[in-house]
Amino acid sequence: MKVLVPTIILALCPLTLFSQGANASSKEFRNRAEQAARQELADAIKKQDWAKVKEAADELQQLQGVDKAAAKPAETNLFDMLKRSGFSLSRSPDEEKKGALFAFTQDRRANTDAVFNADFYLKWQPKPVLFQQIYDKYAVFDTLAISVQGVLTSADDKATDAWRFRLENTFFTRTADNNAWFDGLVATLSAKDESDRDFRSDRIGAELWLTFNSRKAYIGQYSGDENSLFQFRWRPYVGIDVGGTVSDEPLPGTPTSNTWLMARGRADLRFTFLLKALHFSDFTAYIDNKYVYLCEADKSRNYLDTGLDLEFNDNVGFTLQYTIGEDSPKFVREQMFKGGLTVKF
Amino acid sequence: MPKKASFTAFSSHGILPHPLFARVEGCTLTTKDKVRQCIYPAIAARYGKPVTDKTKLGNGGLGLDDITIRTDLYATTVIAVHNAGCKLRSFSPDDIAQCKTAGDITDGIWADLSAA
Repeated sequence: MKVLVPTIILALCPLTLFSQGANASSKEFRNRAEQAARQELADAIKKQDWAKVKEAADELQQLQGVDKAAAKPAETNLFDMLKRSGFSLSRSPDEEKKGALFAFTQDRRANTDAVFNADFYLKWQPKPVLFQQIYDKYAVFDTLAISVQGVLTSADDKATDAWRFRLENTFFTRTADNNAWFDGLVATLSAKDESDRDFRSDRIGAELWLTFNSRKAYIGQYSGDENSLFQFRWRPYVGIDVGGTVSDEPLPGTPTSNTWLMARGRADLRFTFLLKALHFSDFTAYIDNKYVYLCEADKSRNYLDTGLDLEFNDNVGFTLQYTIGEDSPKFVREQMFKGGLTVKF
Repeated sequence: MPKKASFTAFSSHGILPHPLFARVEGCTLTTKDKVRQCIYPAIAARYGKPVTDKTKLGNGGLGLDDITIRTDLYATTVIAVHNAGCKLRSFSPDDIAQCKTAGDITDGIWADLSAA
């Protein structure tokens, strides 16, 4: 089974290797763009607008040197190279702007072993296959992506450990009306293999999450602005997970259930007034609650994740996290407090 | 007045009936400044905040979460570019998710349009 799932995922990769259609005449467009850039350069020199001069000169250089540039790899460091290859690293699927968490703790007084924690979501999404429809309303099927999510700890208590391998696709719509309450639907469908740290408990299935965007209801966009004391936003989800458990050992907290109905809500509170005083990049508190109803077993499970995120700059930050409840795949009760540095690219 | 994109029902080889393969003529976004003038008003109208190169997409700017950036903002930007008669070739939701500011989106779109 451990070999089968990655094999299926790799076999499906060629499906993503289409390419998007190009402009009808790229060469003709670049000729016109070169003319426009020359004109813009001449105008900017005449007006002595040196910022525009620089931009027009850069554009011209880019247009004239594009073939040479295309022949040379432009990667400057490892993170850029990975990013351009379609890789991204963050903390979880819906938190692309938050850094993956790698932390350790050691009780020196009690002389215990160091405990390592990692919360990360590594995704590879090849260059795009977008199936777009642009009419009055807009709909997009995004490229298939492959991801691995780890919520891991080296502590003896393995209640929270989880590996999640996904082959995922997102479909979304956008309504044209800028003043509507409903801005669009977002659906994410994944084939998923979820297991514990040692791959002794596997659940294979499909997962569908639905959410929607609404600026007026602050779903997906913060209220207020930088002059507000606080800013608030939230996002509701509903989902369904259908699958079966393939385990070498029984799962203590999971009654047999092939269908899970799920609901999730997340809220963020941004301390705008503190940012100016402390000169940090960002400072937010969040609360994220996931409720799972195991249909056949007629049991419910709840998992609460709350904490504080402090960002020193765009790449490095610090986080405090408190979790309580039962999360998949084992649904064993846990209560944990974590702190650590965050890294993202 | 930007020339509208003209979509045909079929691709040039007549097999795939999808806008993905549509022909686009008369792309008017021939400079980075025109890209800026095309997409910033559309973003500002959608999210009710003024937009410049330095406007952050997430916290401290438009205040959008990752899902909204990847979906609604992406669609808003692409529709504005399409309405200017241009077709993006490889600019994807994943690319916009990597952008931190509106200026990064302009750079990404311009790089896509001006690519060989």
